[in-house]
Amino acid sequence: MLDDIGFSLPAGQVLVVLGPNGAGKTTLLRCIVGADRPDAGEVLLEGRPLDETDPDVRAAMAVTLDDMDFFPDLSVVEHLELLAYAHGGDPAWVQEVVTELGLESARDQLPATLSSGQRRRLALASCFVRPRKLLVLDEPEQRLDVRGREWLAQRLLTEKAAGTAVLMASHDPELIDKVADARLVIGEP
Amino acid sequence: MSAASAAALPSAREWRVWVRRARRDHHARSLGDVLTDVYMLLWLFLVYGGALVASVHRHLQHPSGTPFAGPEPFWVGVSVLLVGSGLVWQALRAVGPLMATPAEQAWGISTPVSRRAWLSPRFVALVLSTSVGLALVAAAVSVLGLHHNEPGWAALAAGAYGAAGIASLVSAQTPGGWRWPRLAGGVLIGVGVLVAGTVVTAHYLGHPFPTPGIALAPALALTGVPLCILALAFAWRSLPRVDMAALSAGAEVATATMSATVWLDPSLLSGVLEVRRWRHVGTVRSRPFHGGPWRRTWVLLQAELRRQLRRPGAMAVWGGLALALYALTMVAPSAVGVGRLLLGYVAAGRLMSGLRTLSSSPGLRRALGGSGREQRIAHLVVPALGMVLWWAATAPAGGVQLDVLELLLIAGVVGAAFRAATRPPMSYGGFVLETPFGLIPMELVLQLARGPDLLGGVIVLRLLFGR
Repeated sequence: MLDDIGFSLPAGQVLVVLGPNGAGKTTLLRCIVGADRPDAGEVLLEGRPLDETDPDVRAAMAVTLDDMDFFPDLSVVEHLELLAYAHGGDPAWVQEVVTELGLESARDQLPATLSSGQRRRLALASCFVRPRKLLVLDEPEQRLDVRGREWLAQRLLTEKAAGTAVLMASHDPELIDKVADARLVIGEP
Repeated sequence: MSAASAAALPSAREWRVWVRRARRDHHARSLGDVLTDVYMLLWLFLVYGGALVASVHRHLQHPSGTPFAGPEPFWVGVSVLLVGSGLVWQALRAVGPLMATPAEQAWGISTPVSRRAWLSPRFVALVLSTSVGLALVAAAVSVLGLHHNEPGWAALAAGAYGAAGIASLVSAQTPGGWRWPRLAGGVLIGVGVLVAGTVVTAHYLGHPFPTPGIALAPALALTGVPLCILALAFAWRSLPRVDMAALSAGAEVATATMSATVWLDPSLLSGVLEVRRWRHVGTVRSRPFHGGPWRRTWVLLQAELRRQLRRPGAMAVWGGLALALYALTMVAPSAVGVGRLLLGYVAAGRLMSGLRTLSSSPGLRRALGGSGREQRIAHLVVPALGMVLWWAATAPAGGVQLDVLELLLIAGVVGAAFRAATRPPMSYGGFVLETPFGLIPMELVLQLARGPDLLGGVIVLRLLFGR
């Protein structure tokens, strides 16, 4: 499906993967983060092979793909606190991110009661309550309203400024124009 | 915000305690609820366990009453054991055996918490439950007297091989791990079928295989124990390298299995397995369909035939079930008549995937056009012909009687498989019957019985009028 793909992503830059439906954008991201195994090839993180089983790699890499799921019996804020705790992060970040993402009114809700947009915000929030060097997002603009997309663009610019490398797939030209430093087009002749 | 220092990270145990405490706050389960659940489990365990113990005890009181005689039942037992082990092996590979739910992946496994500490409790539980369960089964089978009566050795051998099997499968979950466990399931099934085929052929040629003169269980136990220790050591070393790709692969199947069990709807699982199978195949060679006198039906028929040829597994099961009937003639000749109907029902069902897809998808039916009757007939031709062929292939085992009853039986089996394949999606409303034994959801029962009900009728017909 994917063949002959090579690129590098420096810290503090955003690389957007582009391509038509079925081009393999999600598959590429899944192979990079270790959620799927490629048949061949190598992914390096800071010069070392990216091995998902290495705790240091998991500590450096914040990922939101399209298959994010939730514990049905934990609230929004508990999910985020759990992740912050498991990453040795600062619990204060949780409140900060909840407010920033407009999830304040839903903080005690269980996932089953959230709208698809709120679930998407919770999935994105999971990336920001923990330390990170590399941010991998699969079509993060999906199911976000206009304000949500504006927030996302601003947040990604902040991530760049903080030195985080961002790798994302997207179909939103406005978002791409605002944040992208480089583009990788796949699946086109 | 920079990457966390390892010192600040919680252990896997602390993570679990955190989640358990948070979850407890949202559950209003009283002590009475918990005790009721424990009581129900204990009650089921005592009733069924007691029945098993009583029947084994009865057998031990009358050791001469063993239902099996001659060498063939031993070899058929070996074949069943091999095929059964192969199927269990494939099932375990499909779910992992180590796996993590999507929520665990996102909120736990993806964190820097130690992978070995995370996986070790479930690895230990899996090894212990498998080896103890297999040891109990092996001891029970041993006292049935298929071969030398050595329940202790049999239990030790089964427990050791069970633990070694689980450990090997876990080792195979690592990237670049052992490759042989990925093929072992198919090899076990293949060898089992080969044993059955050889024994059946030898039996019909009048040269039955002798039973091995030596006791097998001690030899198996003595080789199994060191193998088990070695495999466990490898698996323990492999635990930190079991990656997210391996842990997530089985979650989909495990979730579907749970949903299918809870909702009493096997199609929830079979649908997921279908998608996985075809995703694995990936691409096929597309060819144009040929027109004909009844164009739409003719094209549907070609498509159905093409799909059958792309499912070699279904064809293999179809053939394997014929072999199973021949094996049944050597173990329980009196059950061959009914066994032929049951196995034929399963064999016909294997060829009805097209009908199942059609019945579960109104969108597909609309898109195909034509009447529902025309669509169903087009998809029934191949399975019906397959059933006639299967019936003819099993004639030496089941008997040749070309009469009205025989035709009725064949039609009945095809009809039963057809009814099961065209079962509409489950609905959970409907009426409930109040009986002295409690409430029975009749509509649910009727939906589940669609297919087996007609098969039951065919079996009664066979028992009443068969020779």
